Amino acid sequence: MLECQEATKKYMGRTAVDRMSLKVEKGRIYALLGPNGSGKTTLMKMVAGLVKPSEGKILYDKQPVGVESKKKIAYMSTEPFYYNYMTISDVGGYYKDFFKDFDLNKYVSLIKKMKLRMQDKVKSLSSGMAAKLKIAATLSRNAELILLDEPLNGIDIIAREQIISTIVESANEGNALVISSHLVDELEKIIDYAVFMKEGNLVMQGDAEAMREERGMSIVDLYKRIYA
Amino acid sequence: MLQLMKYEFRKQMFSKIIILAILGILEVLFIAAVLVKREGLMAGSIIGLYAIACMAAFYVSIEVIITYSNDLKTKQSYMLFLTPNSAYKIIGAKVFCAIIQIFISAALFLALGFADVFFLAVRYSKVQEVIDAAKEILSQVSGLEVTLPKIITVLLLVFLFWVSTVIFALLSITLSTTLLENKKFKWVISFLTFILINIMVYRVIGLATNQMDAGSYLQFAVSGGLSAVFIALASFGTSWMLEKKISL
Repeated sequence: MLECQEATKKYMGRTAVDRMSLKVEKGRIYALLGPNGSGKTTLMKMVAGLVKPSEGKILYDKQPVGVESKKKIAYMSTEPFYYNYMTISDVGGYYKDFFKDFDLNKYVSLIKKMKLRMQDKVKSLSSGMAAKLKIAATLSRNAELILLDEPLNGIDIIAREQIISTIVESANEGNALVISSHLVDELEKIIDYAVFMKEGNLVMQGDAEAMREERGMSIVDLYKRIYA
Repeated sequence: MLQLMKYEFRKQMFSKIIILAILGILEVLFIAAVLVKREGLMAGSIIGLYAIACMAAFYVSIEVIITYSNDLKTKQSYMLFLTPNSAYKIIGAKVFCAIIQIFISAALFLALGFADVFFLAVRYSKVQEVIDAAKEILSQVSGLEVTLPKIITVLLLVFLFWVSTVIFALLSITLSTTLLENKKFKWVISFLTFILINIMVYRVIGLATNQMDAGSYLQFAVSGGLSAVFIALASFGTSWMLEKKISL
């Protein structure tokens, strides 16, 4: 479904992503791993159509990302991005207006599960509550490709389990999830495929279980070995 | 595009409510002052109405530019650019909203002004005298014969020039966040581009109309037509840059 071909993004002479090649297939959960500044967010933004690659191509269903791919890709950024005037209810209305795959009932149920209130203003939410809202809105889309950039940022340790289970419940044979995080411990148990990035480069990628067997260590240990 | 326009209006609604509320209060003061013939209050409310209308007309345009700048420079840009809409649709919605907002504001302030003058004249039984005096002043200032169709034509032309300046500002902001994204002094360059575009456009319009009779309908039509063409070109250029070089 998604194919990055030598995708490169340069900013002011600095290369944020360097000749990244990657294929994403349905029915799997991908972990995009790496420390801050490794290029995970830039790569996700290129896939979401928010940033144009300086070189290389990003194809979705064999077409360059654009209007059509945005109908099928749900992206959750690491920063809050909803308009300040909005309430949680308005956010649901906005998604419903623009995304045909948005399930308002699922949104209402996730908002309830996350212990948020529909009438609350977005700008009055704490960072943890804002993070939960982003996840609820993004996962309420029945998108083919779901990109979650640092979904556990700002979430307390108790709520993390809830977020992880919500993410896993959203995964099915008809979609793919790409989750970027430096909190590898939390992702270890749910991922099918791991992609390690460092300073904009692809360091290693492969089936998570195969990696564990081949190297005789967990993804967490592998992460420590690569980045230590 | 209608959905995009709906949210575009919603984003800028709060300031409009404030402006309308202030104008409403001043208008009530003005009417009350006229009815009870309190000249001090009347003068104060007229000055207030005039000042607020001028500032609001200016602010409506500035807010279009500020909102667009925020849409490109802050994370709120994702709200627009994650939706399955092309840059052409997004910019189209913004341009239409800008045109509608500027038009409605200008029309509202002018209508209010005319209504107040008329009300004042009726109250003091000097309607025709006031209209004649206004015509005389306008004729002397412009050096042209003042008729209602001509006044409307001039106002439409001013409106088009005003809208074009706002759209050129959007183009310049886009330039700095797309083609000049990786350049130093990109804001300086984009500001200079804005100035340059305005100078060039007014020069082109000047060259195209300088052989025509001053104040003729042909001159107004050509000036207005060219302004509309430049608005369309600037909107297209803005969309094209976003479509090809977006970096949020």
